[in-house]
Formats: sequence, C-alpha cells, structure tokens
Amino acid sequence: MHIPDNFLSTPVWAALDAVSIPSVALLARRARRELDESRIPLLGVMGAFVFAAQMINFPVGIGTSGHLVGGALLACALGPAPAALVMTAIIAIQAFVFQDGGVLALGANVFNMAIAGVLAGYLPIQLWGATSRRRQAIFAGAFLSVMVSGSLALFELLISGIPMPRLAILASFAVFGVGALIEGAITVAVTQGIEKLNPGLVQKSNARSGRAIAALSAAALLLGGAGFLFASTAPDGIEKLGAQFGINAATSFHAPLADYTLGLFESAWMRKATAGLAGLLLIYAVCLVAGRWVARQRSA
Amino acid sequence: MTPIIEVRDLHFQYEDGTKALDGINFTLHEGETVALFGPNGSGKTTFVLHLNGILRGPGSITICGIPLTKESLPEVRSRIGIVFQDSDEQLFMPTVLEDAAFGPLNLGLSAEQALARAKSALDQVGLGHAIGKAPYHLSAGEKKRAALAGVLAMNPEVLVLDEPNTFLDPPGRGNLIQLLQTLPQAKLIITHDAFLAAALAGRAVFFESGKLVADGPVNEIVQQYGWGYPALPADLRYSAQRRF
Amino acid sequence: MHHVRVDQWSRGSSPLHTRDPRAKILALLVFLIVLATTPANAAITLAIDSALLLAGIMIAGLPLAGLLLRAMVVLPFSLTFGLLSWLVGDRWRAIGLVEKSYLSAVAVLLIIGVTTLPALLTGLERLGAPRMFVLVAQFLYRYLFVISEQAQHMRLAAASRQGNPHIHRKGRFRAAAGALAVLFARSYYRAEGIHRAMLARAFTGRFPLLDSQHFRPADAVFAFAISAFLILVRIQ
Repeated sequence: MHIPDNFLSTPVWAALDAVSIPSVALLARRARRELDESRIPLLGVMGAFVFAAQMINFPVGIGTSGHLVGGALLACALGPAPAALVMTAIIAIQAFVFQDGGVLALGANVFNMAIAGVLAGYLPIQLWGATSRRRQAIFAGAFLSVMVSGSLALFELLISGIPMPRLAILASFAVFGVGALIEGAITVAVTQGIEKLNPGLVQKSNARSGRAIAALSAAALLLGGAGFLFASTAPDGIEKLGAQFGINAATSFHAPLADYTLGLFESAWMRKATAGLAGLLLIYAVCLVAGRWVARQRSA
Repeated sequence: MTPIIEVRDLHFQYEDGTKALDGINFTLHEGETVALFGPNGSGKTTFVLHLNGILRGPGSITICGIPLTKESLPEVRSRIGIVFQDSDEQLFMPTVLEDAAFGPLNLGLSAEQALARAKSALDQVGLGHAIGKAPYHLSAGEKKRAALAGVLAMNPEVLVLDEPNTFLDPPGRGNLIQLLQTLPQAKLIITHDAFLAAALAGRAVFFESGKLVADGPVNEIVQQYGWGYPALPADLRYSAQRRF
Repeated sequence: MHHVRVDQWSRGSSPLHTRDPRAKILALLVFLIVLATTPANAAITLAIDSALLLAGIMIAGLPLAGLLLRAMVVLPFSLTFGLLSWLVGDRWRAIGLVEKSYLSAVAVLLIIGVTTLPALLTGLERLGAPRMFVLVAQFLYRYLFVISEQAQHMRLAAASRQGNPHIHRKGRFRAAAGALAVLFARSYYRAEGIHRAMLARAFTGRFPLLDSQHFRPADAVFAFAISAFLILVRIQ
C-alpha cells in the first residue's frame, strides 16, 4: 500500500503533496492543542510500538499470516488527530529509512493512510465505541481504514496511467479486502487484550472530537468510496475522468510514452517543471506565512 | 545546619485506596549518604517520587530549605536530581550530549552554557569521548553513567538513585560505586544490594508496607532484616512469610 | 535489522556526512523531481544521474553492494507493475517504472546513509516542518530500536513454545494478540516513565531547542552545484 516514487504521474503526486503538507500542519496544531508537548513521548512510543507490532505475524489461513497496520488501533488509543500525526511519522520514517514508499509520494501515502485511513477508521468508533456494539465498531473502523487507504492508492495509480487489466484490479481489491478483515480481527483482539490488562489505556470514544472530526471522517469515507467506485469501473471510468482533467490516461494505457518524448522539448519541460515547482513553493510559502500569522494571533 | 531533605508525616494513597505511604518521617543531612532498603512494593519508589513533586500527597516536604509547593517545583527540581531505575526512560534525546543538555536548557540556560554544563558532566562520569553517540549504542553501564550525567549537569545539591546497579555486571557495579564515591552531593540510594550500601552509605532506613520502620547504621539494618547474603535461613526474619 | 545497519552508515565522517541536512534534503528533492520528470528513454540523463549516485556512494564510503541490495526492496512492486505495463504494450513505462523507482530508492538510501535520522528531522524542522511532527518522529526513532527488540524477544519466546505446529490457529492468533497487548501496555508505561524523567529534569511543558546546525558556504555550494548540474543534464 506504500506507493514508491515514479509510479504516480507528476500532477497526482504534486497535488497530493500540496494537500498533505497543510493537512499535517493542521493535525500537528490540533494534536498540540489536545495533548501539549508533554505527551510527545507517548505519541512517539506508540509509533514505535506500531512499527514493532508490524513484525508480529498473525496466522490467518493455510500458511498465510497477516500483520497489523495500526491506524485504527492508534485512533482508539490516542484519538484521531494524534493518531494521524503518529501515522504520518511512521510513514515518513518508513519512506526515508526503509525505502517503503517514496519521498515525493509521501503526500499520497500520508493522505491515503494517515489522514483518510485514520479518519475513516475512526468514524464507527466515534459513533458506536461507547455502546454495547463496541467490538463491531472497532472491527468496522479497522476494516474501513484499510479499505479506504487501499482504494485511494489504487485510484491514484490508475489515474496516473498505470495499466491494470480488470483482473488485476479485482485481485488488488481482494487482497485489500482480506487485509482489511485481518486488520479488523487483530485490532479487536488487541484492544480487548489491552482492556483486560488495564481498562484505562484505551478510550471509549473521544468526546472532544465532536462534529468537525465526524464530518472529516465522513468525507474520508466518501472519498474512499469514490476511489473504490472509480477504480472498480476502470479502465472506462478512469478514461472518462482522465479526459475531463486532460491527463489523457487513455493513450498512456495502450501506447508507449509518445506524448512524453514528443511533447517534452527542453522549454516545455522547463515550463511544466517550473510551473509545478512554483506551485509547490507558493503553497509552502502560504503555509509558512499562515502558520506564523496564526502563532502571532495566539500569543497576542 | 538545615537538612537537605526533610519529610514530615507523608501519606499517599493510590486511586484504588491502597495506602502506599503511611506517615513517613525522614531527614537527610548535607554530605550524608543514606541507603533505602525494603521489600518490593513497600513504597520506596513512591516515596522518592514525592521528593520532586511528581507525586503529591499530604504531608510536608522541604528540599534544601525550600518547602515543596506547586510554585517552588522548578526550583526544587533544580536542587534534587533523581536517577531512575530504567536508563532507557531517562535517555530520550537522540544523542548523549543533547540529553545531558536537556536539564540545563529547561533551567533557562543559553545553548552555549547548557552545552558546556553537559560536556563537563559527561567528562565527570567518564563519557567525554561518547558525546555524539546515540543512547541505544551504549552499554548498560554507559547508559547509567549518561543518565547520571544528565542529572549532574543541573548542578543538584542532592542525588537520589533508584536501584542504580540494575542490569550492571559486577565490574559495572564496581565502577559505579567508585564514581559515586567521587561525587560530593548528599545521596539517597534505593538498593537491594547490601554491598553497595555498605560501600557508599553510612546510614540506612528500612521501608515496610509504606512505613519507615527502622533507621540506623547500614550494617545494623542489614543484620536486623537479613538483607545481606549469604545468610543462614534460621536468622532470616522474613524467611517464613517471604514469598518470591 | 535494516534500520540498525542504515543508522550505522549515517554515523560516518565523509564530506557528505558533514554537510548540513538542509542542503542534503534540497539536493535529494531536486534529484527526485528531475528524475520523476525524466522520460524513461532519456538514457544519457539517467546514466549521468546513476553515475552521480555512484560517486556519492563512493565519497560517502558506504558499502556499494550493501546499498544497492537494500534498494532492491522496491523491486517486487515495480517489477509487478512493470510486467503488467509490458504486457499491455507500454514498454517504456515498464522500463521507466523499474529503473526510475530503483534509482529513487538508491538516492534516498544515499541521503539517509549520510545523515542520521534525528539530524534529518531537525533539518526538516528548519525547513518548516511542524515541530510536533518532528518531535514525535524523533521519539519514535529513539524507541524504535528498544521496542522492536522487545517484539523480537516475544516472537522468539512464542516460537520456542510452539513445539506442536498443530496448535490450533485460533490459539496462536490469540497468543499473538495477547503479546501485542502486553507490548502496548509496556510501551505505555515506558512513556509514563519517560515523562517522569522529563519532569524530574525541570521540563517546562515545552521542549528546549538546541540549535546545533549551521548552514555553511560549503553547504550552499553543495546544494546549488548538485541542483544546477542535475537540471542542466536534464535539459540537454
């Protein structure tokens, strides 16, 4: 599910970087408001725990085993915004230290797994986590977090022009589905184990999250659902979408990279690259200025 | 002479009602080293966590003449340094040098001053060559010394050590004892190790079920409670009730 | 474990190691962006980019074979999609996927092989990354080694008890979940211990800054030179 570099087309990875950077900044600010800096060791250690937990194999079938991804578990333990921040840290370290996922693709991977995945996974828990249906809520949350992340990743790959015959797409969804079920089972089992050890360690539901988080979670679910739908109608749906955005996915599906080599004379590339870079720099500058302005407002 | 640590009638109860400390009275004088003995769960660590305000229970605590209150916490924490049992929990910065500088920076020193203090503390414990190392590259003995340096960098007047020779092998323990002997601060050492206590402390106190039940010379306390070894089973006051 | 080895690499003292992390991050980003926008059949550009990476590995004194091997972790993914692309006739995309994603992995490994992760994180903070994120990642990395070792021990202990391979799958599943629950609880208590240690050293509620990174002329030259070189090569 971690997309490496050079899989996504430039508009896709750049756009997702542009979305994720301010989102992470917002998450960091929200996490700092909720938890303040004295909880940073807890967040870091929980991140290390998820990393280490991914090493433990859970037997699920004849000779197969799955492992925990951890988004929903973190959301249960820490609340959605801190959980998203921890997942971001995990994904960043996976990209840099383990080459699991690309660096330019960080925006995409963070968006899929740390933002959309965590938020979508948290919605059932927020709604039903304090009721008698807690186990099912946790299972649903974990299941959704993997399905949403996977669907979005698949959608991004397809819209970048990665050719995937219908069979491969269905196979991918099957793999995600199995992974999502495993995630549900593991997350439920582990949270129950934790509650047996010490009931106070896992929250029932975060009352402070409120409507904003619920709305974001619903949005994440919708996005994931949209990604799922588009991907499952590929390549037709993708072609239609591509036509609308001018990405021209259709030609990239079957023809060699003719467009790239013919169209990209030096100046054209420079124009595109400069435009892309300028766009990123603009977003970066806006974030810096906005961040400082907010900080000044706070201290005033 | 004002005592360095003065505790009067300290109580503490956990949330579930169990009494962890039941009327502790304790005094530590300047230059003194006192050993704190007692079975596991008798309240030794809980007691020590009160001395810098991490836990708060009814009773009076005065450190270096400063009564412990919410306002005096920063001042008190700069005077009393605690070295905890688990060095990994204390060395949380990326490098040994940054970790040792954490305390001084919190006290408001500038970066240069903090680094200078950190370096000299690390030299003092014999880790001057390892300042750029990451904590997970250190041996257990080096980690303990690095944790100690982090506390020494704050120039405390009294040191508290919670079972300092955990994870140390005999040579490591010997080195630690030698190092501690060179430090002029008053010390309070929680330990199960009668040898270490005899080497460093003149006086010992014995904790039992949240009460301080004995206070006297180290060898006397060790004899009285059978806290040294080898000891003949018949002489062990606790052998019958003792559970592993 | 992989991160242990890479961490060892990053503690060298070559001219690349001593460059400011910000310069290295910038150089890496330029490299990756140029590579991403390079067509798969621009053989000369790609060859020069590869040569640049090789030169970097040599200067840094990193083990060439080891690094190239570790970068292969991306190959299963790229070979699968490369095969798919090849089969639908998109040959250049297939080649591009495999060679460019591999080169990207090598580039990232090179940079992380000459920059300790904490230094990289501080560099990111200086470049504007949120403080909370950087601090969390720093703590994560610090305790990654400790907690992964604990997880390893638990795996070994569980494996040693698994004399009978026909132990019911559900039982083994429950045992693994129980092990994770214990690891979670121990991690939680460890975090509390860290917090107590922070309080004992007069933690004020805000982490103190230690600005030990200085951007020197050599760093600016390095970043500029690499970027200019890459862009020029790309345009030719």
